[in-house]
This record gives sequence, C-alpha cells and structure tokens, in this order.
Amino acid sequence: MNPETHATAATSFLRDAERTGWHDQALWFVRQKRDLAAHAVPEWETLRDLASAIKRHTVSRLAQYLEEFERRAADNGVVAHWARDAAEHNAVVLGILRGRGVRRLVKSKSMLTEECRLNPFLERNGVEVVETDLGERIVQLAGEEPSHIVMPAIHRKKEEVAALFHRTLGTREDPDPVYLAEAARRHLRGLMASADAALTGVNFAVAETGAMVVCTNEGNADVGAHLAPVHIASMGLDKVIPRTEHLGVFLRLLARSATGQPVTAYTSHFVTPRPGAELHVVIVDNGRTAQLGRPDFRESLHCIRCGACLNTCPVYRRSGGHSYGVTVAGPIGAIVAPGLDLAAHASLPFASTLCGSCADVCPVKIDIPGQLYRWRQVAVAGGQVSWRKRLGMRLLGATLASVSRYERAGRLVRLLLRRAPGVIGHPALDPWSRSRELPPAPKESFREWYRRERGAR
Amino acid sequence: MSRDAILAAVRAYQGDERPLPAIPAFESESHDALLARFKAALGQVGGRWVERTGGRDLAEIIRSHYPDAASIVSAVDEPPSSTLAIAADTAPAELVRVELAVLRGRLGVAENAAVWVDEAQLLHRALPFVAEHCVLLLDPGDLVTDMHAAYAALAGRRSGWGAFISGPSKTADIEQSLVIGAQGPRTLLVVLDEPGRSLRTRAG
Repeated sequence: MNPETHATAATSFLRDAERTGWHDQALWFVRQKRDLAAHAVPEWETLRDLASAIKRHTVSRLAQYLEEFERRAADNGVVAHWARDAAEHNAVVLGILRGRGVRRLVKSKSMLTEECRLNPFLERNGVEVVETDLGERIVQLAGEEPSHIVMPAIHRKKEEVAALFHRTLGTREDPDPVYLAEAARRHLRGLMASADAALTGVNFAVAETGAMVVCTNEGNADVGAHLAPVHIASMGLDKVIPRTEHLGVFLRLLARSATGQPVTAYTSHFVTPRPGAELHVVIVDNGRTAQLGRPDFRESLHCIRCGACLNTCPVYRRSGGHSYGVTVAGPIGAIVAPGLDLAAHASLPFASTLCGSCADVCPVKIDIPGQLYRWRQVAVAGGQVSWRKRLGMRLLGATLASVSRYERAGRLVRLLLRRAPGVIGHPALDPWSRSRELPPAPKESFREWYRRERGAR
Repeated sequence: MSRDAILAAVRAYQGDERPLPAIPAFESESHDALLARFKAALGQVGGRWVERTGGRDLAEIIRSHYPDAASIVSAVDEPPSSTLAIAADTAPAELVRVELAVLRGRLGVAENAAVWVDEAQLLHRALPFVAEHCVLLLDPGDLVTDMHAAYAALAGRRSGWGAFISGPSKTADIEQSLVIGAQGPRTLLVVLDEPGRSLRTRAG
C-alpha cells in the first residue's frame, strides 16, 4: 500500500488557502494566454489532428526512426549513447564528464535528467552542477524539485525568491522580478562562461537529418552549449520525429500551448559539433518501451511536454505540482507515473475529476481522461486502492444499479440528515465533507414530488 | 548491449504501422500583409524593428539605437565594422564581453517574428546569445507566412547549426512577471533592409 497519496500530500499545500488561490489564478492566467494564442490560428484544430497523427505514426515505426536518427547523427559527428534506465543514463553522462576532467556542468532545463535524478548523482561524484534556467536555478538553490514542467518555480512567490537569493547569492532582499532576474543573469552568465561542459534536453530529434531541436526563452541552453567544449544532449526515445517538415507542425503548437507565445524566443537546431568541440546524445528508455508495450497507455508517449494540461487542470491548480511526488506532475504525469511504478503512484489517476479539460487543450490530442479512467481500473484490479474506497464503491455501485435500492437509500439519507445531522457527512467517516457542508435536506425527492403532483409513473 | 536491447523491445512493442499524414499548404498572404504581421508579432515578443529606407547607413541606424555600444561584432559586410575580433576559437571570457552583435537573418516568419540565422552567417555560434544586444538584418523579400513555409524555404540548406530567434531573451519564471533580458540579449532590433539588398550583398 502506498504511504503518501496525492490527497494526503496535497493537504499541506491546501493549508494556506490564500496561497492555493494565488497558485490557481497564476496557472489559469497562463491557460487564458494559451486560449488567445490558439484562437489566433485558424488552422489550430487541423494542426492538432496532424500532430496527433504524426506521433501515432512515429510511435508505430519508432525503431526505424531511432535508427535513422542515430545514423544521421553519427554522420554529423555526433556521438550517440543508449541507456536502458536512469542509472545507465547517469553513468554514461558521468563517463563522458570524467573522460574530459569536467568539474563544472551547466544545464538547461531537462525533465529527463530530473526523472533520472542526475544532479544528486553527479554531485556525489564530485561534479558541480549548475541549472541555468532561472526557474530551475531557483528550485535548485532552494533544494527542491520543479513543481511544473515548464515553469519549475511557479509555486514560489517573489518574496521567497528574494530571500533565497539574499541567502545564496548575496543580493539585497528586493522582491522586484526585474532586479532578481538581473542578479540571476550576472550569476549564471559568469558560471556558463567558465563551465567545462553543458547538458541540454531535446524537444525534438529529427530522424531525417539527425538535428536536435532545443526550445528556450532565456537563451540559456545556447549560451551554455555554445561556450562549453562538451555538449551532452539527453533525450527520451519518444522525442524523435520523422522529418524536418514535421517541426513546422509541432513548433506552431508547442509554445502557444505552453505559455501562449507564438514561438519560444530561441529554437535552436544542433546538427554537428561546434568546430573543436564535442557533441553527444544520450537516448534513454527508462520505462518508455514498457509503456509502448501497453496499447491502452501507449498514447502517453505522444506528449511534447507543453504543460497545457497542468495549467488547465482544476486539481493540479489547487494542489500544486509537489503533491504528485513525481517529476512530471499534473494529468500527463498521472498517466505516465503509474507505468513506471504502479504501487508508488496508484493514487495519481484518482487526482482528477475526469472533467476532460486536459484532452481539450492537449496539442497532440492525447485522451488523458480515458487513460486516467483505465489506470484506475488497473489500480483497483491490482489491489492498489484502500478497502474503504473499494467498499464505498461497491455499496454505491449496488445502490445505483437498482431503482428501489436507490429510492430507499435516498429516503434513509434524507431522514438521517433531518433527525441526526452530523451522522451523514461526519468528517471522520466521510472525507468529502471535511471541507464542505451539506445543504439542508429536502423533505422529499424530486421523484416523490413528481409522483404526488402529476400522479405519473 | 543497451542499444540492441532497447531497439528489440521497441520493435516488439510498437505495433502495426499507422499512416503518416501529408501536411497541407495553409493560406499564404500578400507581401504587405506579411510585413505587417511580422512587425506586429515582433512587437508582441518584445523586439523592435526599423526600416532602412532611402539607402540609410546601417552604422548610423545602429549608432542611433545603441549610442553607448563600445564593443561591436558584426558579421555583415558593411560598416560598422567589428571592434572585437571573434572567430570559431575565441574564448568564452572574450565572447561574453560582446555588447552588440550585428548579424544577417536568412528569413523571417510573419506568424511569430522568428528570424532564421545559421552558421553560414555567424562568426561563432554563441554570438547571437552572449551579446548584450542583437541586431538582425533582414530582407523583407525573405519573409514567409508560417513555420511550414519557413522549413520549406530552408530545405536543402545544410548547416551545422541554426536557430529561429523571436525577440530578445526573456523569462517569466518569477511569479509569471515578464522580464526582458534573461541570460541572452536584452534587446533585439530587426533592421528591415531595402528589398533585394541582401541578394546583391550575397552575390558580392
């Protein structure tokens, strides 16, 4: 049984109601920007259909495209490495760094390396790791994990960032974002100019050319990668796409879905190593082929990590990314994580109202609510759900399956609510009522009223 | 070997082939509409533009926009000339001292103000990112409507590295407050060349 569920972890986030409301609104603001950007593109729905179909095709011929990508990359002078899991990925990276005597590695945002827990591993092995995306640097200095795949420090207020920078960078305690970003700029540019190696993620790997496309707004991936003598790009094997022309489709969708921008400030295409420098790519499985082998859940591999499903999700917005306990939080995380470790993450598919908003905004049209529903069934069948929930569901199922039982149960509940308020909806018995009050019970049900008034039935 | 094990697993699990769709051509626009949309998009992403009309001197445009820039690196064949010598082997400590980079963009995209630059037009890949300010020269005749048209126009152009640049460097990582000038350039100015000028320059 799972020690910490999404619901229990969210309790601490929800303790501060003012902050919860602020977090909710901050993300809703991003969702609204996404809507404006999407509605400004007349062919938006056509692009989503195309993106979905391109991904479906790519995943169905994934081996061929991975081999083609590897071949082209090798022709370009890129050294390709393969890693079955996180441990192998980390060992490959450390091996490259050790071979070149690297002491400082600068990194641009990479969710894959978060997933692999690369930073603590490298630090244990004597490599200084510097995150160069502002949000990533904030959570790194705070000793935290990112709470959002696109906006890692969305859970932190500017006053907290000011206090953190004051403590770690020696700045004055000024919460002005312009002042704080300027301080980070000076700090990070200095570190990047003296780094021995740079590591970036990969947004898209093009099989046709071997190009690796990296998108940032800050320009940090490019500053780091073009200054250091060694560049390592880490990619999940789901990042490959067949041809350059497909970039047109995905890039039109990615930033608009993520932040409402028409495109990120920088869309960098790494093809060959810089003259005199090395370029490596590490192609990582870490549970992805296992997910490929589950036809019901294969679609989760289509994800381009825009974060739109997080921004729109009423549960994510009101529970925060850390409540999910995984690198990729939110609806997409809730369909990916159970495939990695069902016992540890069985509560995540239940962290949803199944409202379907995630599927409506997904640029590659993943049926997230459908997959959440199916993961719930897997979790129940695998005994990963508490006896209370199973018992409650069985009783509810039996009640709703029979008209007479439903009517009798309704009468009983109305009677108890009137005669013994506090029994139904007692917080100790019914978690739902812990932060809600039931309305006063009516004397009769609608069906009873209808029968009396109209004499029908 | 991990490579073979991974590929074998992928092959075993990937299922039957699903069709790859063709990408249709979306509506194109007149040149005037493209230019207007490019300018509007550039404003939206925090960049600025200036039109080079009547044979206006590039050096003068740059002086008027960046009167204080002391270290200038230009990869363009006309004044102002570089005050720092940058080559592929220039050290990072030198590169981060560049105040102003002047580069030629190969094409511009109207829908998002992205300008393509690649190795053929650069002295060092880091230049568009480490410079405090960035000026991109663009021939308005090289504007295309969207990213599909952009990749079609770039097809066959071989380069070891290239990027779309849309406005200056920016971040919103602190409370969603937009700050222009994150780790890269603080400003981006697109100089819209006289039509056809870049063709003459490239030919010469």
